[in-house]
Amino acid sequence: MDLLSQLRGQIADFSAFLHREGFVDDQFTQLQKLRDESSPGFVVEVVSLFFEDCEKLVNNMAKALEQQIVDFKQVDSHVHQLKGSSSSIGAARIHNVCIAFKTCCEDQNRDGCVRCLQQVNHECIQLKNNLQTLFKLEQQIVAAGGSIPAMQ
Amino acid sequence: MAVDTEEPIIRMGARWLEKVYGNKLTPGQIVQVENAKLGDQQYYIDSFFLNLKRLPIVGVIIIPRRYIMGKVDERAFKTLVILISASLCILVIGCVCILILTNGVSKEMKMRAELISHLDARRRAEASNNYKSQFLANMSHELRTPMAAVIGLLDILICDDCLTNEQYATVTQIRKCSTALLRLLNNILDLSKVESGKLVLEDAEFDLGRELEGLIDMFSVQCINHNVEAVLDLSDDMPKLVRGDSARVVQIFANLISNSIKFTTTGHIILRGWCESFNTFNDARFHLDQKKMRCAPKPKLRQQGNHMKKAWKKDNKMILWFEIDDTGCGIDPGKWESVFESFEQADPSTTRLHGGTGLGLCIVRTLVNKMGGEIKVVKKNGSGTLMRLYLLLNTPADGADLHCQADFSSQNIVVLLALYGSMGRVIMSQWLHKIGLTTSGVSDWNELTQVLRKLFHGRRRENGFDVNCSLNEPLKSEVLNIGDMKDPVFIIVVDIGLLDLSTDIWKEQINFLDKFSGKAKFAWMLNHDTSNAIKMELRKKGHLLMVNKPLYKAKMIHILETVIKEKDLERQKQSPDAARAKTKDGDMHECLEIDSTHFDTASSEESDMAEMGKSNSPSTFHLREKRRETEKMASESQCQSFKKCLVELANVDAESREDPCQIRPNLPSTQYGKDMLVCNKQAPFSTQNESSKHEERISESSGHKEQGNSYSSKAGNLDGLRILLAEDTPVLQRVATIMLEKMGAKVIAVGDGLQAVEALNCISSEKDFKRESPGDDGERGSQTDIQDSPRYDLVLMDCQMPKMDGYEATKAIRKSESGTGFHIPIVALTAHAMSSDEAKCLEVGMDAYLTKPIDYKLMVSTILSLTKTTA
Repeated sequence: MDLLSQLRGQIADFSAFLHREGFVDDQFTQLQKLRDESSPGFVVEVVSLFFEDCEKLVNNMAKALEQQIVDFKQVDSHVHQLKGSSSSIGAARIHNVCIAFKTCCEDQNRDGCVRCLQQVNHECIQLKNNLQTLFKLEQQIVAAGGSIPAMQ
Repeated sequence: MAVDTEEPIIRMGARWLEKVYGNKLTPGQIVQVENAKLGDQQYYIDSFFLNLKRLPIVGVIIIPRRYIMGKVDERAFKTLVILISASLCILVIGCVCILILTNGVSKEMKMRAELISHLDARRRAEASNNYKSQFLANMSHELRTPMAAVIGLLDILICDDCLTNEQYATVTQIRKCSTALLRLLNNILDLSKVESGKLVLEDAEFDLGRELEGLIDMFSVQCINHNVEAVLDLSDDMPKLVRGDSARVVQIFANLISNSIKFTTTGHIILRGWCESFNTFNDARFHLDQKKMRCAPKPKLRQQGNHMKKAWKKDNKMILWFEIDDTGCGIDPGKWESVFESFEQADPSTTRLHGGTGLGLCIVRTLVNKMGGEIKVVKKNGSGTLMRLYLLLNTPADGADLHCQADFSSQNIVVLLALYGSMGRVIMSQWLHKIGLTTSGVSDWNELTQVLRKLFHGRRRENGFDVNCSLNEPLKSEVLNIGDMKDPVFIIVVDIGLLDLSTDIWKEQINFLDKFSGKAKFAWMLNHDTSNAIKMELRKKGHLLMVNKPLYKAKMIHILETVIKEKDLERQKQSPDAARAKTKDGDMHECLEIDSTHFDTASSEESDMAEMGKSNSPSTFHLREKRRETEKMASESQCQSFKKCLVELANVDAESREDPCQIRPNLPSTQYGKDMLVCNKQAPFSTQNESSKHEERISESSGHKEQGNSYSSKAGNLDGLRILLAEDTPVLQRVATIMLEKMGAKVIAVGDGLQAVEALNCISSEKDFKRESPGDDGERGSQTDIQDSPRYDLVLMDCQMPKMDGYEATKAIRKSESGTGFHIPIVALTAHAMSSDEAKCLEVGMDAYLTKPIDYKLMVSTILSLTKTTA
């Protein structure tokens, strides 16, 4: 029981940290609420889907920005998609960077876009690591025999 | 020389001559002196020499100057005097003028200096005020964040299972205090927002009557505890829909009414409303100010209001007048203006006694002013406060949408009001009288029994009326009038408070009323805390019309309509089954009026319905399958009302559970699944003895529901719904799909607008096929995605998609629907949250919209609200 409560405490702290730092927001919490016995891997599934999508978009955007004449419209649509997905899983930081990114696209500011892209990449990686830690903790709890506590 | 004469002047003259000339006068010398002063006058002295032969005479003529030059001298003197005095005067005046001028100039200089310093001071004061406002706003905003955190964490604590009772009580108390603190902060924030001019009023249509009714409902609960009556009295010509900011308007009235409640310990609080048109308002402004507000002149005023309504409504602007009339401790007339200032309480001890900050009225006044109106306290007869305000609101273009009532006067209905609160009863009976119904009122049980006896037993005898009984005069005459009517429909509205609930006499009382149940329809006004046992009794006796207090027009109209419908149905006398169905329909209707939160109200009805349902589909039931089957049953016409009733029951239930002010159907119909369950369980049991068992079970399950907020309890909410999801972002697609499938819906996902249109077009073309060749099943099989039930119940359409975006797709779908009568609900998902987007969505024909990121609860409730109406 001690291990369980310790793990629980850890996970609570960690998710509070994530929320505080703005890595995730309420939307993520809502997503976690959707998880239950019938679809335990729901959140993991969605998150992995998101990261796949994110990678793909980032690659596309990088390619587009490397061109001589940058097609800002295309980059913009990619950013829009990324913005949408990140907001629907609650990746707040990525979402914010996307907003800045969009402004750069509208201004047709190539350097700004490149910078934003790098930031997006960075944030993605960070978020990925953080969420992996979170999921590992959850797995540990399940392994220790407890149920994953409802996050608030 | 003649120096010794007696004549003084001559003597003086001589002496003078002597003095001047001595004796040296030669004979030839002529003396001509012009002004010799002799004595006190001036003389001319002239001498002449008369040289007679032996007598040289020197004659001297002495003429006083006065004889010759007198006048000239005078004149000269006067002139001199005048001249000198004139010049003196001028000098003096000049000096005075200069003094005045310099005075004035110096004063002006001083005043200018003062003015400048005042302006400066004012500027500084304003700047500091602004700064303070800003600071206040900033601080309040900053303060709200930790407050929200505190409240959130407290909520978490409250949900924790392992708290002791004391801890739980403590935490709840802390939470209450924090909410109060947050409310105070919000008030301050509001105030500074308004003062800094940054408050923006929304402009949307809302139903004013319903908002106010909801407000009165909410406050009536508080009022009942205080033994105060809350009455709503809106005139009939008030527009149904108005444009404005509903939240702020409700805020105004909530503030005013809560003030009234705070200060009223007994009596009543009346919210009156009437309207007039904009043009005549300006003329009548002075006139109206002088009107007293008592019941008697009020119909006059209403008439006047009606008359004005006929006048030309310019720009669809209406002036809506409101009054809050309470019988509390009143406000001192000297303070009537100052109570509206910030932080002003009418009495310094008020804060101590009643709490509050003194901000409420300030906010109210500012909001009212912003809406183009004014508020002030007016004089009233009797104790208490009367606040009057008017608002300038627009009515939407179809301004003819007033409270249209059926013409009840043709229905020959008599209404007997048995209500405790005299104010409410009087107002209601006046209004009923106005719309053409005969009405009478009693205020306690004894009177009620007497009147009933007279009305019904008297009629049976049919030979005049026995008038020697102990009714009072007006009641007697009313009863006599009623007796004259031919075969009227009786409706008796009884307040549950009339029954003696402290002992068991109330059962007897209800039994007593049974005698009259065939001849009259009873409608019961319940409290919000009326116990189930009483309700069961009432229903057992066949009293199905139950409404919660307070009684206002909408509810009364509802009651009247229900009764009329029932009477019509009874008169029609169709075949037994259909009649049963229809009367069940009528019963269902009455069910609808039960707006308290208990299941057992539904259960006994359901037992009847389940019986009927059983007779329709005689197969055996299993719990889970029954759900599906009842769905199918539900699509049949007979049980359609049943489902609707239950869902609406659940809606009403959940509505009243949440803040009744929010009329928006923002509710998870959590009880939907449960209702079905109940129905299932009821099927084998058809006696009402089991209903108590069910009550327990139901209360148990509802108890469970209370605790967790997890979605699992809502499983199966969207059972059987087929939803088409058009969304290109894979993450969102996946999330939404899982979400909806969890709820029991079947989701088909497509990636862009074109595919969505195709998916729907297949259906419609299939329908065409069906219509043309009804027996051609072969066509159907070719559509792979589409199964037996041929169409989707709802479309979730993302607005930004490649190839064809949401707007285009919707347009195409609506176009293809234009020939047929179908209208599939389309919900837009958009990342933009501006009102222009909303307008755009509605323009292309969408039914609702949700903003990304999606709030799942909202999505579920939107889907339910759109699909249940088509089910």
